[in-house]
Amino acid sequence: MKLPRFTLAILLLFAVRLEAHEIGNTRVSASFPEGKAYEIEIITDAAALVEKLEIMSGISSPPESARKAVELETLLPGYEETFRRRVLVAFDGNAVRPAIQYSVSGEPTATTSPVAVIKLIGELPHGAREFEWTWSWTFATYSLTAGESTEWLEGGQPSAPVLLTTGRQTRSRASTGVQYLTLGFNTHRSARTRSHVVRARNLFPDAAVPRDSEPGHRLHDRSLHHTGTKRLWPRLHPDSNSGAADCRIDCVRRHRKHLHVGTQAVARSSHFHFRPASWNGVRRCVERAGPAACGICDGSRHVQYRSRSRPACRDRYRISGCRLVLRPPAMVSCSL
Amino acid sequence: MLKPYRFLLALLILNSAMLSAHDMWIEPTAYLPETGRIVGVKLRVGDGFLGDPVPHNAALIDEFVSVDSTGRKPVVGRPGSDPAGLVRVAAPGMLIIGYKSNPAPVALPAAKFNQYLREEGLESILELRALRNQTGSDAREIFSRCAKSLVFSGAPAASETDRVLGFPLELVTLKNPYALRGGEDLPVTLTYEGKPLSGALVVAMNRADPKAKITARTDKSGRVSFKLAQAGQWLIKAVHMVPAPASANAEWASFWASLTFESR
Repeated sequence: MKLPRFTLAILLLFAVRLEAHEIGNTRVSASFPEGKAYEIEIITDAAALVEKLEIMSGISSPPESARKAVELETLLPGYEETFRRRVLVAFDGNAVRPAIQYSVSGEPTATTSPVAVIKLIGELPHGAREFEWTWSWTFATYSLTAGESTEWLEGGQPSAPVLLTTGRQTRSRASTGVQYLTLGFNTHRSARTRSHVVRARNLFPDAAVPRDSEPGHRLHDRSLHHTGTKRLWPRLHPDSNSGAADCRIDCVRRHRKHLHVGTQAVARSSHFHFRPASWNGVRRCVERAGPAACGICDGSRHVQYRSRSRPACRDRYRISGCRLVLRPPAMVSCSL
Repeated sequence: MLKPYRFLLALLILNSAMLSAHDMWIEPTAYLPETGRIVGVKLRVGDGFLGDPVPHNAALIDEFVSVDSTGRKPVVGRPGSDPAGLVRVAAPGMLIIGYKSNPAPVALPAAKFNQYLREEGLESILELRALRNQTGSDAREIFSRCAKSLVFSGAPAASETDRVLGFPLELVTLKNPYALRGGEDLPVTLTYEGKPLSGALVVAMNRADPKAKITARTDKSGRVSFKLAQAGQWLIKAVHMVPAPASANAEWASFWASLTFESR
């Protein structure tokens, strides 16, 4: 007999074990291409990581030393052994020693810090079935995405084992519910589909918010398709000009796990981080790109209905994302 | 590949990093800026000056303010941005930056909670738990951050001192740390809900050597004095815990005060 959902929610509410600190800006994702190798990508604040590595090595840096990306990228490999002491990659309970690649991008400004992308790569041990992860270079809550699942972890907390065969974590729906309750969640009712979207509250998907960004600006990913990445790229490039990077984009996907290749290309070449559609851990599916998932927040002056000429501002709930496009005047020429 | 027992050992070592409770403090991008300059206000969560950036999160912020001779102003920041806020140094003198968070829930296993109580000098709560036969029970807590930072612009003057921001738990320096002479002590008062808090553990640490912590208990007037022999950034912190109000759905309410500044 199935428990009514309300009863289940109440049970979860009282069974929950909360343990959470502030959400930081570290994100970790693990992938296992073709089941032969593993690639773990850590996106984190480069200056904060180097600072921690330095303090652990007995070196102190003044707070005013806003170091450039190149300098940070040079420094990171020098602390590799220190770095490894607080990272654990394991398969079936056996720790492995991955190769590490570092890259740092973005320059320090008043509102942004350089972002480090650290890749831990190696071959999967023969017959490996489960992946486990521990990252102790953070004191805040961070996300680990492995396969289709995202788990919220504290620094030093071992992840739940991830089954490599399916890419799914061996977690129950109840534990997923607990995660939502731990983080807090908001629900949005979709006007068209009548479905509820459950989102983690206080979650900022970007490791770095671009310069001059306007918070909360969201676009449906069909807008990206419509404009094409060649036209979109100069608008997104932070160094094109001051008006070229004035929005943050949450790229909302429709029934797809991964980002469109064009979007990925833009993300790789810029300091922008695109977020796939919200993953509803309770229902175990990608959220539909309904109106709630592609709400247009304040400051969306560059977005309009495809069939109209005026911008679609200040309407969070009644706009179909499928019909949105970027206004042509918002495009910045490649020649600028 | 490491053998399983080594893996377990590694896990134990990694886990030991997270056993201690985490502080939150403010790290301005400059402690001694020129007047007129914009200073980034970074929020950090961590332990012993090892910190992680905490982006601006309106849902967590109860108060995020700066106070100087021109008055009290909100610290502006964009959602998700680090530094979490920006402050313009409008006038020479002391600029006090304050961050007070909304209470957030946390639940800890008994062993971890007891250890954290010992680390933070909250023996009275340990005793209270023992009296209630709760030592072996998990604990639910709501915690609030009360972080301050002192930034100074211009020529240091002894007359320019810290100010009370009205946070539930607050550390207030009684002398200007930027005008301290060599060998002079820095007196600090700890207040809880505006009244001096006695018997509380106050810890001071220098960024260059955060493991060398200076600790002291507040006297009846809530005061402690630290001899800050080393130049550089200092973090002074204290934690206070009380039984949580009935509406909080928690047993305990903790307040985490911190104060950062730079000594020369």
